[in-house]
Amino acid sequence: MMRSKWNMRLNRIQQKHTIERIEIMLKRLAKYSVLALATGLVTGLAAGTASSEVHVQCPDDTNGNAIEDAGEVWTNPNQVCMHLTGGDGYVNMSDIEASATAVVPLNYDGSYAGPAQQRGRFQYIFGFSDVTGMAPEDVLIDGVLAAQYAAPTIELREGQEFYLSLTNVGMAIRPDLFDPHTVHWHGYPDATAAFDGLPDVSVSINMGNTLTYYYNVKDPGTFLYHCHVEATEHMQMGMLGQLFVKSAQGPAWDDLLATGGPGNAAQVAGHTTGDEYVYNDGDGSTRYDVEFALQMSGFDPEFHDASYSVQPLPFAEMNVTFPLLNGRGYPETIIQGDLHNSGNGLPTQPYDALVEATAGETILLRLSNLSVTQFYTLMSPSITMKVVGTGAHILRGPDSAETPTAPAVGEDLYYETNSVTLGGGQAFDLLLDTAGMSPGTYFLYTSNLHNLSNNTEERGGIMTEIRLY
Amino acid sequence: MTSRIKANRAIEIFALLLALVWTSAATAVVPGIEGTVTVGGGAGGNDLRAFQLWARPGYIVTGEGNTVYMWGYAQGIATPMNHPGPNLIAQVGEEIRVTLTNQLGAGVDTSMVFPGHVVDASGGTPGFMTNEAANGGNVTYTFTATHPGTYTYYSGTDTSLQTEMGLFGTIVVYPAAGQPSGGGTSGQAYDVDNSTFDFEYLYVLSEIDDAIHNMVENGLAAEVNMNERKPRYWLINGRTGPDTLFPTGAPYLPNQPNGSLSRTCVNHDVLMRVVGAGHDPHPFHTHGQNFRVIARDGRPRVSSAVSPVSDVGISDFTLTVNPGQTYDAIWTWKGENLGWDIYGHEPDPVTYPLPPHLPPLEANEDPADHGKPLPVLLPEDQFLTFGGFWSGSPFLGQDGTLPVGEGGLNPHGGMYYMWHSHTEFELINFDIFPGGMLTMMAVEGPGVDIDGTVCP
Amino acid sequence: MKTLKLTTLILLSTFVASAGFAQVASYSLVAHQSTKTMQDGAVVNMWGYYDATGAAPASWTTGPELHVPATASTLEVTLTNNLSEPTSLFIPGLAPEVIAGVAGEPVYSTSGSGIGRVHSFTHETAPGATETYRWHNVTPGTYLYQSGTNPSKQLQMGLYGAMYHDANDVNPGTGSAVDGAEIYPGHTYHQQVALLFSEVDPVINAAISADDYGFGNTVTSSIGRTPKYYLINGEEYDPLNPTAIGTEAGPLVLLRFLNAGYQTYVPVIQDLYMNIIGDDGNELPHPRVQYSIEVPAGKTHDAIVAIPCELADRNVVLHDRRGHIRNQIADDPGTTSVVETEEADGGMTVTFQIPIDTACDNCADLSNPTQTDVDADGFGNLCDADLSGDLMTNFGDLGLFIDAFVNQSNPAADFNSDGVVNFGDLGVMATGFGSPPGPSLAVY
Repeated sequence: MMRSKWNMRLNRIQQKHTIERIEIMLKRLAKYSVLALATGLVTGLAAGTASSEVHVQCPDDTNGNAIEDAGEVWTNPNQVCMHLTGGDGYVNMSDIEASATAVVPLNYDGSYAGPAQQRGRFQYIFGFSDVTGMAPEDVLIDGVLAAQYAAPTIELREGQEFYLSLTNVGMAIRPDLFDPHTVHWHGYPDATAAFDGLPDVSVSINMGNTLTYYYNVKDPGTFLYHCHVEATEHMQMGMLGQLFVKSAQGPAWDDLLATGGPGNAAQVAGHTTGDEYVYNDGDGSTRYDVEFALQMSGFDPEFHDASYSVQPLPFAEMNVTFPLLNGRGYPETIIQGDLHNSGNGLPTQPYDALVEATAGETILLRLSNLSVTQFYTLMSPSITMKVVGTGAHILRGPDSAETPTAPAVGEDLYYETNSVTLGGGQAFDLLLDTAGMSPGTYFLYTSNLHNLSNNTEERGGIMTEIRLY
Repeated sequence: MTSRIKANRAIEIFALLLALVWTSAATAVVPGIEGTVTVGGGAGGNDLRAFQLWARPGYIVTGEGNTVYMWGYAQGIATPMNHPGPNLIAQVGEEIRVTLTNQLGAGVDTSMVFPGHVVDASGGTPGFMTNEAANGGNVTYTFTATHPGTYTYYSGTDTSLQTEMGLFGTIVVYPAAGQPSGGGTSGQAYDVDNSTFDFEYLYVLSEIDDAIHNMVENGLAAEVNMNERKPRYWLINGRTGPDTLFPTGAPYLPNQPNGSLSRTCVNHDVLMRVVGAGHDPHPFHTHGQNFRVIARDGRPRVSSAVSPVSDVGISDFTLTVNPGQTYDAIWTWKGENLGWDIYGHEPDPVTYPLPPHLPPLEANEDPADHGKPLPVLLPEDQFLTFGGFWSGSPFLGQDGTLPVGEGGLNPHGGMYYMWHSHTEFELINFDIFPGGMLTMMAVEGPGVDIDGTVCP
Repeated sequence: MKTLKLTTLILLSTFVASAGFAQVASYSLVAHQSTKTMQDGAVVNMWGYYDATGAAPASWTTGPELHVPATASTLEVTLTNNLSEPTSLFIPGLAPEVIAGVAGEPVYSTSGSGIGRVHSFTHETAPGATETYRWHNVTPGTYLYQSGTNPSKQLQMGLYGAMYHDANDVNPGTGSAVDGAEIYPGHTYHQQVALLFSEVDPVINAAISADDYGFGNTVTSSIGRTPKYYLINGEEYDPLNPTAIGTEAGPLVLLRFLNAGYQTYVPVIQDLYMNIIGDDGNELPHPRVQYSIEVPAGKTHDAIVAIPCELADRNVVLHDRRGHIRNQIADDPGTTSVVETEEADGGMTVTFQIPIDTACDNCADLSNPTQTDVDADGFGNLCDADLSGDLMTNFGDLGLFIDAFVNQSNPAADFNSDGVVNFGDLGVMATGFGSPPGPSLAVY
């Protein structure tokens, strides 16, 4: 088992901050009238661990904030670090008329963030938040009750080395819970038990501590991630998000063009500097102009309310009535900008699902489903979709090599359709060629038409717009 | 916290049955029955393979301790009924004859249908889909296994209710010389080159709404409204999790003989035979690696009849398994290009004086990763929660020290991956998590014996 | 006999031949309120389409099947709206004609909170009004035309129908439409069957019909939709009406699957495999050979089955393997017993009836009801003077015939099956001399 003098040293440094942090946290929590519950949290922290270990493992990152500050020299140019918290938080659903709720938008520093917003039903969630760049000693304060939904999107480039630190900041509203958390990078090829984030076969991180995952980012494609601890509960409660890896082909062909270096001249013949490709197709067939990531999921409001009010969780009765796209229901899916929650005013639903392009461009939709209850069929009635990848793999037949670094060869399996059906844990790469289409507004929506609802409110749910200019 | 307590209790159950789990190793050959062969007994001079099944009620157990009344198929007149029905194993070109005797009780007719085959029925009385047997009667179905593959059978009488009650099973037809033999685990599934495998496993996915079963058990089958069906249990090979992890043939699960705990070695090909047998689609996710589909409904995915390989099957990490459909896929874990040495090789100048002072490569090790250290440090024990299948070490084939009472389910230090429905709602047994449609695949390290195949 | 093919309801389009422009296929439809009486006696509220040139049907049906001829590339439908709320026509898989400010642009409505939501994907037809909808560049395939207005609300009422357009309206081999057609280039079929899946929740339909749906009403959204009736081509299963497949033209049957419902169905066909070649009106580059097919909400699929001769004179069943295969039947009014059968076999089931002498006719151009084929080569005696088996009737066969004539030892030479080999059989040979045996549908 690994031990580290580094761990022990950080132990001592942070120990003296513990009581100070608890005081600040109490004040913050008191602001939101949960003082009684916070008492339990303090007790838990003080008694359970001698110190809290919030630390980021990121080579050459001397201050532990996961970014390359002035004064730091990161020797590995392919290194990417990220710091996520796992905890709880608040969002609001999109049933603006049925459950009209006024929201005072606030920033993370407590300042006002803009005019009041009209939102729908208040919901308690578990989730991740992105604290990359935050000093480790601030994480247990500012990273608490800040979970966002959908979780922060992780965007990577093939060839990088990814250090992902996950700090479990505990559940501020549920101090009776001692749940650990993990990150499961769903679909990582040749995943190892240690970093796969499956608690039954691995390790999970306890409250107040940090676990760092390492991934050699070797394959391009559209993946997903979620917490796998008590997956039925944690995923329904919101610990899920998008993850994708851009292929190395675009930058590699940029180099070939610029330097005239060795390579297949025919390959780069159609390449313009800056062009991107979904996969290392070797022939440019997965080229795209703009990309959008869309994730389908859904909330069971009774389940979230039961969690919030410390009731037994109705697993067998789970019934998702808020179908969501990137964490929102239509028409909030087409509102650009942060949406704030009515619990603590924070911008915890930052992702819209609006697709925009210039008519004639090729749009890449990185589509995934992390519903814990059902399949969804997504229809693009007016713009045909070409499926070029499934399960983060180019849609081609097997070849004799099938190595991560050689361009994929094999029978082309791309096909065109106007609707795709995804279950939980599935991801598709869809190219929409808008050549010859009139500028205007087109729609992307679930053809499971009863899910065009925000619970009891009609004309909502899984729908967004494709605007061609 | 309630859920965590339940998870711990589940792990205690695992630990209690640990000895049974490992003294009888998981079968790397798909379980099934081979019937009786009469050489040249078929109508066309081919061999005749005959099976006899008795449709009979019985009970299964679920992971949280419930029992459910089922209808299943027994292999003998006095043997326990099986759920799912036995996997019928045959060779390509044989004439298959299945004689079904109905013991389901007064007023219940039943039958069998075999999609993918042209079936002649004799005996019984013509029914909605095929000939049916009344209670106490029998009916015989005959067809030729013209193509190798993975197939399903299910009741053709009041199909919606009878498949809910459990009347379904599978058929595996091997190509010539395709069936594992001589104590080995390797074989071939189709007449395409990339259907060879080192290990093969069967995964039959289904669901149960026990309220319907209660009504049938109490003579109220006529009142069942299938529109109101709401499953509470999800199963692989007729067992809910964590029973899915107990061995095939476990004596304490007499009516549910088939487990699904699976094991393989590095860079070995696993054939997944996945069958949808219930009423709902399931997204079956394989942690650890993508799979490549090579066949559907008993037909290889080929671009033309003369393709020597399955060349149009897709790669994915989550398989949509629809009712009635069968899928064959190849899964291979290679441990390549991870950026660290999965065997934990460290420089040892004393034992290996020549640079780079590393032990020799393992049989299927990626040379590019040889000797690279783990790039991060795992936190101290008190900051971690451990899974029962965590060996204590991130390295393949190794154990690490664990606090007392932790782990214990991973005697060979393998890497475990959960294969499960990604509709997480289906990972419960009624209200209890964990359970439902989950099983494990273990990648074992060098020297581990998997049913007679030793990992290199 | 009513068949699922709905040939009687296929509309013949009126052509507008415009010099220099591709031909236009034109139809006119009316959207109206209707009802349907189900097998259990319940009267369900429905909205449907009917052909404007005829009378409104007494009972709801799926919309008339629209056929865009192969020579047309534009579809034009004039819709008259006899409902009491706006509606429209929309075809997933085809982009509507867009004329700024006039046609093809989405319509928004602002709800009480001031939030703008889309109400229609295309221009609306107001109640009582008539509007025209056009789609250019119609490519071969099968499509589901439907309401484009508040689809979550309106589709479940029954506003849907099938449209198809083939690459070739005649069998390319024979040049005759009687012998079938070609859906995508290279994919010939001899007969087609449309299978349009849908389901009905009578409670929500009643609320919508009573204008009691939406914000502030009894039923506010369709999230809690619970279907009760499961239909194919707008009907519950009727055991007295199997579908005949297999014709003299040949063994290839095109199944056009369409799903106007809100959930996925998985039809499984016994005894046969399907060659799935089309997806939402897009030709699949690699056909899929399966006996089952996933048909999600809104999806269309094209699949060709080849009826083998061994299935002649048999029934083949197709049913939804997700289990929606029960008809709701009437509660027995004569009993107060709590034990009453509510359902019977049926639901989303189709029984295909394969006749004896069509799918397998071993002399397709001649009448040979006994199908006698002594040498079992797939060519019936009456059209098989090829005694040598080299697939040509020539002097080598004449030599064998003379031998059989003299010795009466070769029953294969008794071409007219009258018990003797004589001048009658010589006449049969003369007719087929110099040609291959057949044609036979048993050989392909």
